[in-house]
Amino acid sequence: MPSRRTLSRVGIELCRHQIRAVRLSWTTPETLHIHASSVVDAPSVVLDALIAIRQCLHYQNEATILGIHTEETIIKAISLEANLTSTEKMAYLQTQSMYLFGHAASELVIDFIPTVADQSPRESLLVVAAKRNYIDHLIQLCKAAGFRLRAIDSCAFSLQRVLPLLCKNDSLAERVILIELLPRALLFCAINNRQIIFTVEVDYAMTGDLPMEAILLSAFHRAWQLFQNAQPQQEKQLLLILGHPQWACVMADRIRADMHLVVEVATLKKIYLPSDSLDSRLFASLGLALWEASS
Amino acid sequence: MGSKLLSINLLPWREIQAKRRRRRHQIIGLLGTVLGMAILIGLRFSVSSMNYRLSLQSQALKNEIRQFALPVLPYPKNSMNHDMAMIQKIKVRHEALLVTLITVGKTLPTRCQLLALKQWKDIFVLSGRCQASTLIYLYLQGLKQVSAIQAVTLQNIHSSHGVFFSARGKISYENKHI
Repeated sequence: MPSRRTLSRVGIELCRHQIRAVRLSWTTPETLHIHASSVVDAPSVVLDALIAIRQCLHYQNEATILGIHTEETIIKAISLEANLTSTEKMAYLQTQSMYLFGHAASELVIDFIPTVADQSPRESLLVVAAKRNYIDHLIQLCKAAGFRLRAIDSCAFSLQRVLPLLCKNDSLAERVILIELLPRALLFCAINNRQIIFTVEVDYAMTGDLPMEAILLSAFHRAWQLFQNAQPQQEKQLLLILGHPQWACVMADRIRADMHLVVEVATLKKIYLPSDSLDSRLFASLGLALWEASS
Repeated sequence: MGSKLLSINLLPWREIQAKRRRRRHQIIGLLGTVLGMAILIGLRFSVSSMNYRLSLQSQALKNEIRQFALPVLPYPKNSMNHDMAMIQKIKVRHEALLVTLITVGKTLPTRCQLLALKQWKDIFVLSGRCQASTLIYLYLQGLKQVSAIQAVTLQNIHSSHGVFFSARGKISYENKHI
């Protein structure tokens, strides 16, 4: 388990229509003390929302991890020679950035992590890129709001970190699909052996004609279809739904009835929380606060 | 828990790290240059001080020999004067030879060994062994400073279990104050 110092963090999830945050402090080896902020709906004035969250969390200059959503990033899986150094890999990615990401390297911030380390002479890398302007803007915002920014991560990866803390059917824990119900989008994330193999974010529109349940199901089916196209032969999987508790329950019932999947609404294991259970809408923020540098 | 999982960081930390690495290399390069220059200056100072020491030693030797100079005999006879002139001439030659041979022996660096020293008329040949060739050059340079030695040339130098060398010199008998 990580040390106390590494887990005294704040994770801020920056959605397009919401900002959510969790402040995490580590007191004993088995207990995480989480202070969850209220959700702030502030699409236009992000800085004010960040300052409000800072006050709400009683921020004490902890390292802050900012999570951005999938639509702001470009994620690629590539394979390279295994004997290349980190600098050489980065140099390769920068020279190939136009081909890989469609933008010049000077316009992007690129990071990568090795995913599969097998015996073959090639190594698989998961490469994530984001627009440099956008990242610089976020850095300025966090600085203005008074947060000590430690990292900018993707929310899809933060969900993977929170997975070991969730109550789930352990017999199917190797193949899990996480669905996070966001205010205007549905984040679909497939994890196999603790490695993200597929992630997509499907937007949905709030119309008065259709019930919310139907809109969410339609978005889920679209994401599921994309997943089936990308990964056609998948065995039985566990589907965990995160997000608004009421809609998560409704979604779980409908999907369980229609698709014969093992579906559960995500809740946090009691051993990690001595008091109340964390709102499932804040799991991505918790995952962000659990960020730890691989380098 | 977290270290085995994905930890993407889109802050430009790799660029900052590369910049730090570049700065560290620059500092190391700068320190290396300063250290190299200091070593060069130190070496130069040490060579000049060694030359100065050698010249002082040869001067001291000359003074020592001068103390033992024979007095001119007060006999007025021509034959005696001729003999005395001959004696003086022999003495001068002898002193020059003595100064040369003593200087060759006494100024030999501590890490050098004199293997042979031969003399024929005004030519002397010396051979020896040294730990480093730089010491030989310094040693021969020092010999050139001695007034009783007209010229010294390095004849041969080769390395085999140490640096072996041989040098040839010429003794000067003229216009010297010994």
